Amino acid sequence: MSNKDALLASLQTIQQDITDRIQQAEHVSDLDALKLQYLTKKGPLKDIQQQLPALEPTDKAVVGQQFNLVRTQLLAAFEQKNHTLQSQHIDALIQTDWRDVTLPGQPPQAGHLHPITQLRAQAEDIFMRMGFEIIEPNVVDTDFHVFEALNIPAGHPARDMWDTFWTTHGYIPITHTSAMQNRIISQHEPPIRAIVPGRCFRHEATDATHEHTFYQIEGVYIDKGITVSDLIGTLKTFLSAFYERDVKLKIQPSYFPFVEPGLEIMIDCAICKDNTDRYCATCRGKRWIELVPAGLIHPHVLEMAGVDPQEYSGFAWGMGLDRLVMIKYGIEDLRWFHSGDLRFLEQF
Amino acid sequence: MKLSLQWINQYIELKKDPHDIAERLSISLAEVEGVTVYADQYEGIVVGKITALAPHPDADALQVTTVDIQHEILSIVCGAHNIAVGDYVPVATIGTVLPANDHQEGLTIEKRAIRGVESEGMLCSPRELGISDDHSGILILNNEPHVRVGEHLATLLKADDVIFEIENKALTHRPDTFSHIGMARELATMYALGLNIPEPSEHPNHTTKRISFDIQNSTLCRRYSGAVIKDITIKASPLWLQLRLQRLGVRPINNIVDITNYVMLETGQPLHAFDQAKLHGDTVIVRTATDGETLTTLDGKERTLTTDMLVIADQNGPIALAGVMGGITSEVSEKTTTIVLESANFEHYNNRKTSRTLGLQTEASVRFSKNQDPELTLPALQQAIAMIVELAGGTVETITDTYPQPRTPQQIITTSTFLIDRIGDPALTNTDDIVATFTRLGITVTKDKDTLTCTIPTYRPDLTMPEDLVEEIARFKGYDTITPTLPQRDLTPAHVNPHIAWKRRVNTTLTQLGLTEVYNYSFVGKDWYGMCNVQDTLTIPLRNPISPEHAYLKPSLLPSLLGNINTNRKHYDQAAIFELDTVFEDNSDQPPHEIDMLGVAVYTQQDTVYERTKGVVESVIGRLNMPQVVFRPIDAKNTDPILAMLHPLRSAVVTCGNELIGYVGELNPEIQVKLGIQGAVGLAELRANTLYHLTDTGTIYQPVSIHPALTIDVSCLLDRDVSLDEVRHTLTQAGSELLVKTIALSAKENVERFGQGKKAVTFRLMFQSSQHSLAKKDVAADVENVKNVLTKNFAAEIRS
Repeated sequence: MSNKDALLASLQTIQQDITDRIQQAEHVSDLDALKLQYLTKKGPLKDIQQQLPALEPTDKAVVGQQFNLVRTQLLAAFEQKNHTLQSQHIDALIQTDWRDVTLPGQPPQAGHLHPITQLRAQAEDIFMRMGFEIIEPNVVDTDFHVFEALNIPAGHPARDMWDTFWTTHGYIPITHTSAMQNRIISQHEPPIRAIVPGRCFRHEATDATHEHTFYQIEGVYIDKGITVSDLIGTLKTFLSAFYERDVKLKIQPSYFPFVEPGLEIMIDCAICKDNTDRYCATCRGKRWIELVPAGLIHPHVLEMAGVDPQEYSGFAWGMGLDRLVMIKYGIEDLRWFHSGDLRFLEQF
Repeated sequence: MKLSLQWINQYIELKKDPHDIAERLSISLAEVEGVTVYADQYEGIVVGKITALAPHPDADALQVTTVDIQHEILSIVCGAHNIAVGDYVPVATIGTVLPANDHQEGLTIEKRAIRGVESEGMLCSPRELGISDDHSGILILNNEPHVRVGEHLATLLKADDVIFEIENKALTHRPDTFSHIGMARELATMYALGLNIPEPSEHPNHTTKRISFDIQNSTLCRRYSGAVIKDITIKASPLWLQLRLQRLGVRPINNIVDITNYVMLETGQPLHAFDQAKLHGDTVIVRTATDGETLTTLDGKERTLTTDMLVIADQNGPIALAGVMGGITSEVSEKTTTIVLESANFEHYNNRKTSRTLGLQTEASVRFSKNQDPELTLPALQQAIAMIVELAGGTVETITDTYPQPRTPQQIITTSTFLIDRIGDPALTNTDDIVATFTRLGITVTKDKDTLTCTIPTYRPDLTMPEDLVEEIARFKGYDTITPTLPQRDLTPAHVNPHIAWKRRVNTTLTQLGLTEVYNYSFVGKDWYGMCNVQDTLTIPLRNPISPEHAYLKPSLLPSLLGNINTNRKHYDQAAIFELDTVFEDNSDQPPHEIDMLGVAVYTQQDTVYERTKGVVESVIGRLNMPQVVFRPIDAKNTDPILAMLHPLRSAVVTCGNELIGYVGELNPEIQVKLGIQGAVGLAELRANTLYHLTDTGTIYQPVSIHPALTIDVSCLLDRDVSLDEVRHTLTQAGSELLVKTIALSAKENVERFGQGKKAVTFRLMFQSSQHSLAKKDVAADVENVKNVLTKNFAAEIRS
């Protein structure tokens, strides 16, 4: 038997042998081992390949062609078997890997921002869109900024309107964000549009509707020809944007020494609007909720901050931020805000 | 301020529904806090006269009365014994429903037999009528002026009325509204009604000088009108007067005191009566107190006075605190026959100061502190004298009036254009309308084309400039009728406050990391700070704290955050919270330094609370693109008192360059044991101001290398207190540009193997090139260099 025939026979045997063993393989790992054994540098096909150069050119062509054919067919067989085994494996995985998809998930826990922080940001954004700059107040300030610059000199009866805390050195945890008015007006050129969200303090006992620590958003607008109707329009626009409805206002005269005229703006209660509920936690059956004390800035206040009241006028307000939040969510008790209680905070 | 509608109706014809009036008052003046309607309360109760009295045949305790009620003679069984033939008494006739009160349901009077004798009604006690708590006998009406048989009790007592309660705050600048006349003027303007204020009949000045008046301080006592009235009879006031005072919140005392109060409620002018017999000497002096002088005021309290307080005095000393409260020694009593009646005006700032200093706010000081009109004193005095003569008898002996500088009406010159423009709604009003409103308010207006010259009455000291007149127009029109407008403005966008944006970024980062934001008070107390071992950090006390728990400005966020963990652990076995808030640092007599702080507290049942807490801090710092931050063990020499809250060996100080950022660590086990906290608590407090200034808001992009990174681990022994952050940063800098990162993989302490105060540390050096894949030989020099730096700079002993 010529060398050529022997090699061809050998190829056939190898092919048969490997094909059988491929068919018998049960796992992908068996197949990988088989492949390593037969198709790498030291395997039987390599032996045949090494004998090819010694053949007659014509024989070499024939054997070479057959070698390539066998090799290609074997690779295809491996591939096909591999595919089958993989499919079987995956099928088995799917069948055994059952989960009850109706059990609760394990959500990653994001934290919660305090509701006042959230709604303050909303309010700030609306005012920003309306052209207002945001300014932060001092927490503790001087008598000058809290009272005097606001047209409330020492001894003025209006001082009785604020129940004020004092440090032993005579400084005041601010009773209102208006304490920033003098700085805002004196440090900016008109037109001035600014809001001051901040924490304020009043010396009063805490219960469901009173807090010694509360939050305000001060607003200041100064330009030529600013009017009472501008004040009303600006706050109505803001409140409608904030509550995402066309709020109704009720406005009463009020008195604050740093505005003239002074007024109190109330909005309609959306919680019990149609059937006046005496026990409504939000408006207490009054249908109207006092929300924004406001007014045109008193000429003395403008003057003290270096703005000529003959040329400019303006308005200011001090909106209760915690009230905005209480109304938005129907929160019944102010004391939750400083409770640090996660059962409350995680709802927002 | 309480207001009687019946009284108001003496001055104007206000035929309106009480709730309509309340609504109008709130639109144009101030919030109405309450409306109480007293109507038909005494329906069926009339005045009867007892014409006969007989004992009850079957009951010794009862009498059978015969009572004339004008159209009928009734036989009524009565248990009281304070009655006599000829007495006028209130008779509840058959069908009457007695007013309900604390002692009785609304009892209906029926014709029925009492122990066998038919009773056709009931004689009533003051308590049964709700007039007072007196239930000792029947109310005797003999002394009521003009009492007449058959008259409805409601008419005799002027009992059908409506009382409005008006919020005072909006009236802080309006002394005139603390009177029925002032309120009538407001209502007359609201409803465009005529106002009829009767002039009090004038008593001519008498000059019989039993008492003279010496006003020594005319700055603080702007006017003093006084009278001496002799031969008066002190007794109870007529019931209608008592009832009215009671409903307006003033306790009836006797006719003289009641009249002074009544005239005050009518005119706004406080008055005071002294018992002349109790005065020493013949001069009433108005002067400031001498230091330490004392006066026992009518409420029975002894007051120690200072030199800036104004007093009324006799030759022995103070007899009243001017414009605040009378003294007990000169109080009018049942025996008084001659009174000195004071109707004076006191300067408002000084009056308020005295009242505040002594903590004594009275009906009088409320009015004086609002700058009451000195023009009122004499008319009010005349009015009071007229009532005294009528209800207490008496003869006027002296009337004097000291008024060195009469208040002159002020002028405000403005234009109707200004007033209308400032409101901003041209359709709201016009010049004629404005003039009409002003005139109703008592303002005299002279019109010259557009210019209005307004003469302001002395009772309106709040009106000083054109802006004040804007309010007078707007409020009577009603603010709700003004058409809202928006100010004209250009398109310049609002300046964005970078600090607000920064805070939002931190907030977002922390919530993304699973932390929930809490708010704690700015005020803290000694007890909890003591529990947290940090009582000595409390350096800024409040002068007037609301409670001991809120007595200091807070120096740190950590104690309150620990408090939050301590309360939440009842409901949660793990929690992670943060707070971004201001703390305070004492700055001697300057305003306290305000420092923004970021506080974090983590509560968990796992042993990795330090790593978790530090991880939060690192994430925040990472999000802020800050330069290299170093965590170091706390130096034993660090005296920051807040460190008493932290575990000495499981806490780190965080710095960036030379700047202190804050601390992160575990709760001091001593505190944890005291509080009985199961699990572990991690705490961090960072200076937010510093973080803010070190934040790089820009994002620096680095191209991603397509070539694989090569990692090489280096192990060594280091001193235990060496900061691995510091080593890492130094090593990274020591390497070439191929060394992109150094990570501390592990650090172990083992005294037996490594010796005391040592730790075994493995660093992983990460090399990467943007040009090609790296082989070990490419980084050999770097590794060598790193080992040298470890040895030289950090006294490391290289292990591999």
